[in-house]
Amino acid sequence: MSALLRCFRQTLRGIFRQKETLTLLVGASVLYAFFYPTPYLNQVLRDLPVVVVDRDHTALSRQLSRWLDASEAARVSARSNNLPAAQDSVRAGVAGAVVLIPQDFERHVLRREPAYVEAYVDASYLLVYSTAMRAIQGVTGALAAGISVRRLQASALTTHAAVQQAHPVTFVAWPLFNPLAGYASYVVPAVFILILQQTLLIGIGALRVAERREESKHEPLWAQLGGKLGAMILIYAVHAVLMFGVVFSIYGFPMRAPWPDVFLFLVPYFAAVTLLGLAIAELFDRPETSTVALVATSLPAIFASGFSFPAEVQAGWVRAVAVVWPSTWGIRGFLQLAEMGARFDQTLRAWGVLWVQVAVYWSLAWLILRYRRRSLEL
Amino acid sequence: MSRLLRVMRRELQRLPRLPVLVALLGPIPLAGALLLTGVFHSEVARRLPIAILDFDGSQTARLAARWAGAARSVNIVARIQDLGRAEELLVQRKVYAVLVVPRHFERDLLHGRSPRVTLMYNEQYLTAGNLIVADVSHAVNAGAGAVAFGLQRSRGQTAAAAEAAAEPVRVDARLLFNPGVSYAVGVGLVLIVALVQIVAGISTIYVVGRELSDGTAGEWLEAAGGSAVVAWIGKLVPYVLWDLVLMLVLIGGFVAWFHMPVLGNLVVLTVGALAFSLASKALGVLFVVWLGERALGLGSITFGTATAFAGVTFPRIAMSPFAQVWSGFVPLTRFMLVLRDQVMVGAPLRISARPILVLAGTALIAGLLALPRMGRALRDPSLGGKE
Repeated sequence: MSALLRCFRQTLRGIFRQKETLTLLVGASVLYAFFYPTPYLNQVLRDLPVVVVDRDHTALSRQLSRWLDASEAARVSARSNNLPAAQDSVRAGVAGAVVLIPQDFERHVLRREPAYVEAYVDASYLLVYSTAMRAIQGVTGALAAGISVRRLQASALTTHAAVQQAHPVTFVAWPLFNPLAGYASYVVPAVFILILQQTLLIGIGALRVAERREESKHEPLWAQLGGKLGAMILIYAVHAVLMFGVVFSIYGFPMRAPWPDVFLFLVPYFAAVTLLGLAIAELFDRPETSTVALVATSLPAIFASGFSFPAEVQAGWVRAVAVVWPSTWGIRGFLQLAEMGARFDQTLRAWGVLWVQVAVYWSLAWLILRYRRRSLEL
Repeated sequence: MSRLLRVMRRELQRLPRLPVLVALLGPIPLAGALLLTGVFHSEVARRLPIAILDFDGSQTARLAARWAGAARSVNIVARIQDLGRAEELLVQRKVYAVLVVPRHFERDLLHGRSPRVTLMYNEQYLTAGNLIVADVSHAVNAGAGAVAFGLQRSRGQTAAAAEAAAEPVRVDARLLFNPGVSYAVGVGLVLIVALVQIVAGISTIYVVGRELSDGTAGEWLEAAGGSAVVAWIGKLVPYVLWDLVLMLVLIGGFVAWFHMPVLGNLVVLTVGALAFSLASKALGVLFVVWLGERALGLGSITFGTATAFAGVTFPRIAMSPFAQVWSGFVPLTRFMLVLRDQVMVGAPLRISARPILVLAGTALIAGLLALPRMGRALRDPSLGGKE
């Protein structure tokens, strides 16, 4: 037991004594936590510029254009008669969409014929596309509903009955967990979990390089691994409080899990990452090598986790690769707990896989360190 | 000229002694790009699991489920009867959404009382959630529209009038530049280019940083015959060429794999790619000559987080003022504009000229800021950060 404590203290001393490890294991997470969310702080895309080409010039076409301007998602940035010029502004990325209200639009409505609005939407930016479509369809839908209700009233229905008949079924969209469709609430929790993994992997790489230079103490291997685990879990628990407590509340992101659950969930996550870090650290010969090798792995790791493009539709072999990354399960379970308000027992799958990873990476790290120690003794 | 070749040859000879650099230049981005290709291989999300919570159980309620099931992005994997089970499935992420068909759905529909069909969907998984809600609402409204059409017809209206009454104003949407709404185009591409930028920037910091920390800068300058200009050009040119090869393989490969038509001008694309490489390299040099070893940290933050600031997944106009300014300095932001214009849009040259000039300007300004230290870095061993 005292060997474990000695190794624990030794690891902490090692981290705080050197600039590189201190920067990587302590400083980096703090910096990223404040810096990374800055693009997304407004949460949603508002007032997307849309050009209206009105060839109808009637009260109804002007109403459509006014409502579009009044919608939260879009604003009418220009009105034009020239469709190609309007499309050019979409091409140049100045506007997100063009709405063309054709001639005889109102006349079609009055004649009870189907009336069409043409929308030219920039789909090269997916958020622009979905925002523009939502705004345009929302406004035309509202306009259509009003027209239907007035027609039904004209056939001697009460307003109430007319409203009901205009919509034979009322469709209610009820977003859960992130009701405002906030982009920060969607991206940041997942990315923070990834940042914790990446800084820990890189930091352990640097720490092991420094340790190998002065490795002399013959502590038992289990104590060395245990001491490292203890030190890393302690430091990273503090990071978790900083990220999901301090930074989340400063930036106003939701955090729905009780802290004991969060720690309970993150312990095997940090342990699996630490042990994986110890296993791969033997590849690195200098303090900066782990940064160079691992900085490019963040993007594949986070997108393979399926938090963005759904895991169900990714290639099967990607799923097989993603299984070995702690981040895949850490992100999945943490989103359940902290964002979707799951009970702890509902995250057992992710938590269980993390424990399996702990067992596998413990064995791997133990074998590698033992091999290294033997080769030193020879 | 021979001095320049000597520096370049020395650079190539150093490679076997820097295995992590070799890994960063080739295998790592290649593996990353392959993995991202696998992530986005289906391009659009289809058949995402959803459940139906049916409180009615009537024939018509099953019809409503069929409406939803007709939406291409969903696949009904469970039919359930209680709300607790729905919550369980959602929270455990076994389904992304639950469509609730209320009690008395059939009766209310036939009596024209507009029963309420609710789609509860997981918006924490925003991509899946948004796709499902757009698709299912469309499918349910279309199904309901058919019912309304039938009702109007039964009152003796003509087919055309009944159709117009059911949906008097419609949107005819034409999707520009990415007509299939492919996520490989909309998200995948920027990730591939971000990988290239990480390689371009970090490798520069590392190869220069190693000279400084190993104290081999003198040897480097000697190979250049004592000329700092030759030393720097000889050092960077092989890596700029490699960036171009990497872009051809990774970006070209990704574009070809997903059959994106290249609508623009290849010369403009090549010039843009060169400017992108130079800008990333110049930032790398700027960081390393001023910060020595610590440049790797700043480089990781700048190049590693560039995707978030690039304005592709989240538009720049919606960013916080700080992020807008910062993203302006990130080469990825500008090069993505060039790629969009010259691959997806087929925009005229003058539209791409601006981001290319900004990239060139970034390279120039970063280069000028680095200049006062670029000579000293070669001669003064104390700049290695080991003072």
